[in-house]
Amino acid sequence: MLIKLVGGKVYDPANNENGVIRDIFVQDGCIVSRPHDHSRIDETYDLNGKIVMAGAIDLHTHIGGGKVNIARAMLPEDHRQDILERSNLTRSCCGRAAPSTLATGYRYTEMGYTACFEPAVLPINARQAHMEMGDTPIVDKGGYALLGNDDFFLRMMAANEDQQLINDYVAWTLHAAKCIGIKVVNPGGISAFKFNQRKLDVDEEHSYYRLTPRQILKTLTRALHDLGVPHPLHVHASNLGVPGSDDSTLITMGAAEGLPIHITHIQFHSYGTEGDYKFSSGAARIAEAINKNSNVSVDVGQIMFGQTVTASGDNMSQHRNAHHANPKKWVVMDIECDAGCGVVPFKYRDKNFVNALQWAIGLEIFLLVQDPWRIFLTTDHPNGAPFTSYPHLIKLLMDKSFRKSVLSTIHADAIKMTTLGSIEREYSLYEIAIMTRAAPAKILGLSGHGHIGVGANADIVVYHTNDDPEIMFAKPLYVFKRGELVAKDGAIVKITLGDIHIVKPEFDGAIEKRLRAYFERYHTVNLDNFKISDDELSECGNGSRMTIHPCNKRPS
Amino acid sequence: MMHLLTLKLKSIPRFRVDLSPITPDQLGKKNLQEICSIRLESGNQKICVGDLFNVSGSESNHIVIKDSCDKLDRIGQNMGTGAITVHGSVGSYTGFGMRDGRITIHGNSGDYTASGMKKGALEIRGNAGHFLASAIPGDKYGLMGGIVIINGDAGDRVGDRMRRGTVLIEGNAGAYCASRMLAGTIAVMGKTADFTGFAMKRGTLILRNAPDSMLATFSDCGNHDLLYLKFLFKSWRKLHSKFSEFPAQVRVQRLMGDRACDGKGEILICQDT
Amino acid sequence: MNKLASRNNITCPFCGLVCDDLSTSLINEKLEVTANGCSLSKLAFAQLSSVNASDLRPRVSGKPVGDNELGHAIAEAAGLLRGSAQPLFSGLMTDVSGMRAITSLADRCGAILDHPNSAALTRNLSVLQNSGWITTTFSEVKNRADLIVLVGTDAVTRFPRFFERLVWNKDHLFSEELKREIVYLGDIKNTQPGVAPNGRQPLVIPCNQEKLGEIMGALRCIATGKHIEATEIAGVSIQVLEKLISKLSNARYGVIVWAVADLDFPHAELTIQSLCELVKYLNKTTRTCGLPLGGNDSDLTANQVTTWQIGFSLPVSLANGRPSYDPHHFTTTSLLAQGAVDTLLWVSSYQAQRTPPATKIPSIVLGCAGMQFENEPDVFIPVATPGLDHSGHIFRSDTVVALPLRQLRTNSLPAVAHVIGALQKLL
Repeated sequence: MLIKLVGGKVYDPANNENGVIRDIFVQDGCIVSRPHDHSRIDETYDLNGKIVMAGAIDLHTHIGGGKVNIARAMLPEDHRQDILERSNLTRSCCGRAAPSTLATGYRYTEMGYTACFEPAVLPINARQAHMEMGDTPIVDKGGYALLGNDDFFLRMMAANEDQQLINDYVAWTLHAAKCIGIKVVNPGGISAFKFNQRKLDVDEEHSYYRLTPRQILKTLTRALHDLGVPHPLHVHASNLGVPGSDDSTLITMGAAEGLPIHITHIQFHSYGTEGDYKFSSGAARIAEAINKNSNVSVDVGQIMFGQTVTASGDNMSQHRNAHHANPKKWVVMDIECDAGCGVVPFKYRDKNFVNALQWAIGLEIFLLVQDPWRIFLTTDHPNGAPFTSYPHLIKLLMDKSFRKSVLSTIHADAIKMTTLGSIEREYSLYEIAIMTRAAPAKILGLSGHGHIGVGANADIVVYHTNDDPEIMFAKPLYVFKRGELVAKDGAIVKITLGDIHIVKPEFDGAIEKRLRAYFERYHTVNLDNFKISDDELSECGNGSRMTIHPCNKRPS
Repeated sequence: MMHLLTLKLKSIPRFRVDLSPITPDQLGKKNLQEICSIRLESGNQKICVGDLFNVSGSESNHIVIKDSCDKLDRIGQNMGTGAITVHGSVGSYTGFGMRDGRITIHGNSGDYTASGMKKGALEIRGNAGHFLASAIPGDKYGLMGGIVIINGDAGDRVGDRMRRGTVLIEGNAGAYCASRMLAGTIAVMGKTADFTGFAMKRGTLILRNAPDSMLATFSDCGNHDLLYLKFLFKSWRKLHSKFSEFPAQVRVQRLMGDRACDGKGEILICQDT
Repeated sequence: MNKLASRNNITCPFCGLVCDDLSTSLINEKLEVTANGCSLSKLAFAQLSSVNASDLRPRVSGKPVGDNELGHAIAEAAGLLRGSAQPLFSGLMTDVSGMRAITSLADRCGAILDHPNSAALTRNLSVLQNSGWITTTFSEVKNRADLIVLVGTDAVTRFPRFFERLVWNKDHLFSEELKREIVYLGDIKNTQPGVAPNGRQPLVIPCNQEKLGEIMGALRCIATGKHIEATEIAGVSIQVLEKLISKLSNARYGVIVWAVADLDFPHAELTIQSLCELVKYLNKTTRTCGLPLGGNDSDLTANQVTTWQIGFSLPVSLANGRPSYDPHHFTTTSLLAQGAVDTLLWVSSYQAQRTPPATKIPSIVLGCAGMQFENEPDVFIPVATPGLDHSGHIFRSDTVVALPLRQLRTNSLPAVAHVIGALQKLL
């Protein structure tokens, strides 16, 4: 079937197209070049006056896995406020801050997102993550496996094992957990908390292993670099939420020693200690460091005012912050000598000084970082806000007078402590397209995604033109997934099943012998029941097709 | 004379019915035909009001339900004005989230009566089930205001996470009375059962009779004459309830707790002769 | 044709520990546990060890269907569901793929979904929904715990290999030898497994189960330095409780274990909440975690799938195309007693004795081959057992770990997912 999309205004930064009016041809799920012969066109869509981009990609969103499900179980009152009724195509489901997997898939699709990545896949919990992602309709998905707090890794490091061996373990983990990247959360800190250590600065030693987060970061960034995994080490840095975390974050950047490093939800790690409240914005310093260091990429983790829930692997920080829970309930877990988690409901209020300044800090970071290829639009769903707030966030970035008017309503002292009011920059559509499509695809190594040039997967979104970006981005006219129309006017018109994206870097299989011995002695599952085979991935993923992206192994 | 809008149940429905659309606010300006076509959820079906009830009258600010039964849930849910009088028993969630007005049930009510109620008056002329004035799962608060009077007995967990308001029980209350209570006043003329005040945080529980046993985590503050009780009992004089005859004396044994959770709730056991 | 087959590292689905180190053998179509089985698993495997040909036939109104007439039975079941105004899908004793099919059908039918263990699940869930907790998982207990307090449970009655696998292990990640102390508190059946390999006796504090809430409260008072007038609570002296707090405060990684199924008295969730608040308090100075034991009858599997797909936990109603959550009213017992449902679909694919409750409403049962009924259901379809007859996944007690189940033998029993899927196609 040949589909023609006629005369849309294309924003495709990966192919340098900035508002180019042209046709797009789709066949067998791919974008093809204009047919020269008189091929029959089966479907035509008139996109005159409409804006066309590739499907958006969310590279950091908590959509599946144990802690997300804990959040769901904890918050029936959140669900009651947001019920999705069954329709001919869609099943009944619910949830706003902690939506069900079905609601997540429907809503992301309706908003024009065609790929979402779960950033915190505990390898021991990977099956559940893949099951939940398998039950997330339409969108493509993938995950980042957590390392850096698991005892096998920390023992290797403490024993000064060869980098090569560590590389093998990292690669083995990617295979075993069927993930596309590696994330480290509070390097060494989750483990340290299990030893009753309550904080861990970047150059501070873990009380048992005597390792520092710096060492862990250096080793893991190196591993991913050597293995040729496209996505750099994805780092949830030390000292989340702590005033003075801006210093810590700058040090974290340096720990990569020039190798690629991605620092996630950096807003939460950009706080200074100045002023009457001893809480200030470190955004300028952070942005400057990002601008200067081209090996660093970040996603912001913007907060929005309102009720949400924070869910992360960082048991140390979540325990420390639990007294801020609103409503007053929370969960912290130590998990399987692997990692941990913490779930703490939270309400960000514009009249609360700290929350108001957090909001401003996130926006400062967006606006002060110059390279839209190295900064990504996230709210660390649901930690900063539910992902349904993205259109509103885009408007804040694109419309400075709107931004200033919202700024004027927040806590008065926070207004004084931010430079946001004097920042005149407005993101262009092209920059938004880079930040939400081209750049995430590039940094994840998702060949065929994030662009709509010939050869790309036909994940295409068509928007009505509207002066109000929030309205424009909230309700696309058409969403195509692999060339099939899945949403129209913000409503689902077809249910499909997205792919699961992974990498399988090369490694020396001898590492598995050591792992087997380790599992037999210390673990409570069999190594063979820890590893996920290709067939099992398909079963967990409800039949999702697996797409393997290439790694370019670097010579040692 | 204005005839009150009257709904007489034709026969006992097969499944429970959600009566939440039937409140004075929502019926407002609707005519009889419109009222009869309102659809009520029952299982997977929707039953028309006109099929379930014989409907007569016009004054919808005071709705009367006759021949009611315990399969009718959510009577008066979220209502903000007017009155509902029910002859017969009712199901669960009576007065759920009620914002104002008056509900009178001439019969028994089921579970979660007055949950989330914010203002107004709710009277049960019979017994109330479990979780009277309590929060539903996930909600922060149970009763949040207004006055609830039970002529008969109440079940377990009266006032669980109650936040404000008054609950008066003329009969007995079940186990875990005032569990996790946050504030407000509960008074029981009969007796309470085991674990009275479990995890109570604040608030006042007034008991005419001492329970058979008290939790060890409540401290006995001794006997006192609490003068403010005089005013409290006086405020009950106008109530259409046995509580209007509550003895004027104010000597109580005062217990404080639940200290297990740093609670500063008080249980006041009347010491009249 | 089944042939001789020995398998190692087999996953056992018959209790929440979900041990995955069993060895099984299949000889002349008889399946047996040959190593690492416990009393529960050996019995469960034995009951399912062989399938008679007659047990393979579905029955409609008590009459076995003809050859290859599974479709007829499914059609009959579909007819019952079509005629139902409010169905109840209960049992839910199946694996992840079975649950995925069931939730889809439930959505289609506007059914209420409940697991017979939901009242027990709710005891824990309501603590999550009101105040939360700090918990840990099996491998952490195995490697770190220097003090394990079992509250209201001996663990082994429901989870026979608890001590063998998690407590008296020889290898520990962080020390050559780990001094591990055991305390029991409650009405405990079997404290023998709590005796250490070196003979050290556990501390046993007997008391009435229903008083555990009051005792938790007293422990919290002691921990926070509040004086208690009474010299004993529920027969337990204050000194003993002080001793217990001292042990917990001085432990490096204390674990407090409970099993919801054993805290089976009214309003036990308040007791569990108090226990969890004590755990939270202890974490001000040391590391202490709760360990909830559960997952039997694959109740956690059912709840995990329901929660992630729909949003609400079990029990949940999908009537009128909208999910609603009411753990108080939507229990199977309550719904049947009140006549609030008119058709029952019961799924029980692990143990033949998990039969549906007696009811007069039309019922469809997807059950183990050879299941016996006091009252024959309208439609009975014998189904495969996950982990024996087909592969699948099931969740472990600590909810974080989902284990793969393997296929050990072949027969013609259909999987729950297959039957439910076929049912849905007919609606």
